[in-house]
Amino acid sequence: MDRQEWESRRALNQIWNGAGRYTISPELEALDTQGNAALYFNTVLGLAWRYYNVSRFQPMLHAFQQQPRGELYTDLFWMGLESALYAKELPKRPALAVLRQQYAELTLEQCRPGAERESLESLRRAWAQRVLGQMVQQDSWYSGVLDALTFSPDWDEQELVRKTEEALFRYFHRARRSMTDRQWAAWVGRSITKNGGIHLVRPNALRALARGAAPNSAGAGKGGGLLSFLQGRTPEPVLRRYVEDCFGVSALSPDQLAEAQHELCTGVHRNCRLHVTRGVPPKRQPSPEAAWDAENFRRQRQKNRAYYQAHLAQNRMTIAQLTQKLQNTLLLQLEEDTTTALSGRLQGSLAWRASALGEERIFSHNQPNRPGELSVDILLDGSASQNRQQEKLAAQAYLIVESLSRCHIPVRVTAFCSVSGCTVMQLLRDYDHPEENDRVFDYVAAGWNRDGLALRTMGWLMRHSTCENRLLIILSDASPNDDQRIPVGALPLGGYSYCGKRGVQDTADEAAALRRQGIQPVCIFTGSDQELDSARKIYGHALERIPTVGWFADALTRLIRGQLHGL
Amino acid sequence: MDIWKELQDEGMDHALMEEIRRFAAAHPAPQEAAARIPKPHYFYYGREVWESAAAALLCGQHLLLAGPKATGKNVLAENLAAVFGRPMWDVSMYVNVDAAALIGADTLQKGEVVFREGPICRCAHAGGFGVLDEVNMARNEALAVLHAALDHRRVIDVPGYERIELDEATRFIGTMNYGYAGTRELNEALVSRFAVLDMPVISDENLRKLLSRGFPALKPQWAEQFALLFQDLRTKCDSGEISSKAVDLRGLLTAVQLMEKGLSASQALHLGIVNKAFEPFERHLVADTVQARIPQDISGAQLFGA
Repeated sequence: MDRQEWESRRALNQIWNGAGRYTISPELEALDTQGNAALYFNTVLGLAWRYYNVSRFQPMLHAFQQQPRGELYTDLFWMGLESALYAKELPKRPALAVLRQQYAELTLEQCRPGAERESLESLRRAWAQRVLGQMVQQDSWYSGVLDALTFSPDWDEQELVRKTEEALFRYFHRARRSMTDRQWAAWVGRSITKNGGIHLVRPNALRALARGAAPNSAGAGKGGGLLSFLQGRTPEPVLRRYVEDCFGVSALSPDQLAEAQHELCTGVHRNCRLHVTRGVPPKRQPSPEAAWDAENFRRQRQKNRAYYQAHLAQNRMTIAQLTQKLQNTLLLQLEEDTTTALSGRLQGSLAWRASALGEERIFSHNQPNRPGELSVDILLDGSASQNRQQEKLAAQAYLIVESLSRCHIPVRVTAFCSVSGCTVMQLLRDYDHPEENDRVFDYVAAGWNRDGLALRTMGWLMRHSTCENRLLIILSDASPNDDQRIPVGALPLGGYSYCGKRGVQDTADEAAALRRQGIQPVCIFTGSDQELDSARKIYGHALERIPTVGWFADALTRLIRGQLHGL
Repeated sequence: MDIWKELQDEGMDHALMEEIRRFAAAHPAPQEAAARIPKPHYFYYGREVWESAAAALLCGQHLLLAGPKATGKNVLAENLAAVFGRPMWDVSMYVNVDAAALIGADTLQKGEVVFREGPICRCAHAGGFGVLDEVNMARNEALAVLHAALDHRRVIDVPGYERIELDEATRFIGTMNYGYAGTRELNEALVSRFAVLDMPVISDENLRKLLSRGFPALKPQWAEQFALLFQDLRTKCDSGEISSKAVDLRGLLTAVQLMEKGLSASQALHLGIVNKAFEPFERHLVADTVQARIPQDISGAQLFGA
């Protein structure tokens, strides 16, 4: 968080504190000329939400924004409202008097004495002088404005707007435009609610490559009924070039890749291929189609980072909680070791030493031992079905990674998706690379998802981990769906779609296979009610659904604790 | 503080108060443990909680006081021991507590192996109230040794030694905070042996009373501001903007105490509340919240006095 974000968040907190509510989204925040959050005025802004229906001021304030002297008008309105709020709140909050005085002193310091007449600076200076009980300039215009802006605490919203209009008309010759303001506000101030708003779903960034021919940008992504019936494969060079351009070059040598495909792309995944990458871009110009996709990905990565920053306070809190809970969980897992001590349980075999040798350390005492080694893999569903929550998923993954890093637990993050039958595994962050935590925000969602093959590949990747306890956390909607069909026999015809019950069954089988290998898959469910049954079928009780990030630390700790007990 | 008068002012059921008096008279504390009967500095405000807790204890139940931070769990436990006239043993639970730390362990004394009693055994003998503080910080395996003591058997069986029967007046009061990051859930076997009292968050009115009675010289106007400050901090914590570290009732009371002793408001509130948040940004948020209620340079004379 840079200083500007820090002070902005601080200002917001001061407003919320004044309002006594943390659900409001104020349009204004007060910072002084040094960029520091102004406690007094932000408290006043918050008090406005406590005492008034602020939406009734919005038409006028939105109209101000469209006018050349809008900033001045807005400040004058708040100056007036400040006097009303101060009078209302002072009996309930005596500290306000001191805060107001400090704010006035600071204002006086920051506003030049010789500022231009009728300027905001000169008016602020006059206001500060009046608050501090100093002589206001012998100018009836200034005292007139300040008097007009001394709003009564008894006025309601309508009266306050009327008085502001009057003062601006009288002293600044601003036409009264309340009717126009209302019409304007019908557009500007309108908020789109969750229920009433239009929902735009971003299109799938990846395209389906033509089967058996070079990709054609015009025809790509429009596979007809016949094509979906064929179990065809996109030519190897075309597919490789496309996935490398979009996701980065392969992290495996050709031999390693061939071996992996030979071992993993079998059974229902027979016609599939794999691409494992660390996101290193190829040293060549990407194809135009891939360049368009890559640009989409770049924008999404920026959004992921911005989303995390926008919820920074809550995210930091969650990381702190999660770290503490994980540490406690690990502490409870410590095995006990028995040592000799001056008191404890008498050790019969040592008792003779007390009388014969005068030795007193003949008791045993339990003390905690070193924890067994644990490594965690996080697998993110990177398919287009996650399009609408990419930022959220990236942030959740980051929370886990950062917390585990703080507990010194090796963690790796992999995202998976599938394009034209190729399951792409993007290694976003590897074990023992805490400096790469930020790369989790490089997660993007696009393409299909062949969950069964992704789990199988994760098992293959995790076999190389030397830790004795291996945990796999999957952030997924448990809704397998791939355009590469499940083959039946050797013919390139027919087969079944990899989705619905068949997809779920295959994924459940692969999850069970992982458990047999000593890898514990646990799922943080990101889907809707409809997919919950599928998720339960695949992951059983090793599943948590998290309504908001506030539940994250508890839920994740519960999952990890449950799995650790089973190890 | 006259705890009986406070109970009367709270409007506690007279029959229950009479029962407690009879219980205390029927079970005088042993001489050697009399010094352990607490003399509380603070009173727990909340009639319903008082009545529930007292009734459960009178019926021979052990109590589990469950609630978030700053709900007065330990104050209530101490108050209960005081009105029942019981010596109190405070046993702080932590992850490495084992059966030996609770019950006792063998040791050598003049060349002989003897059993050195732990706090639970001593409490059981003396008819005391054993407060198992933060009971959910300990491992369930360590607490299993208490199962027989907490259920109808009321015994502690130490292998190799005689069975220790709990005195008729012995009760155990567990406290647990399910909000702490470091805590965990108790297993069902243990919970079923307690009557569980869900401790409500202290109300503004009760906090004002607590401040006014704890610090009689504090002006009512400022007692109200401190109570509101505590509410502001709690709201901020509930909204996820700060952790629960600064929502610290003990810290607030300490700060007021320090101010009464002459420390400046700014210093006292930093010591008691603001500095509890170690993360710099969080500390700023807490400091802003404090400053919006209590002027930094307010003098003792302004806060205290007639």
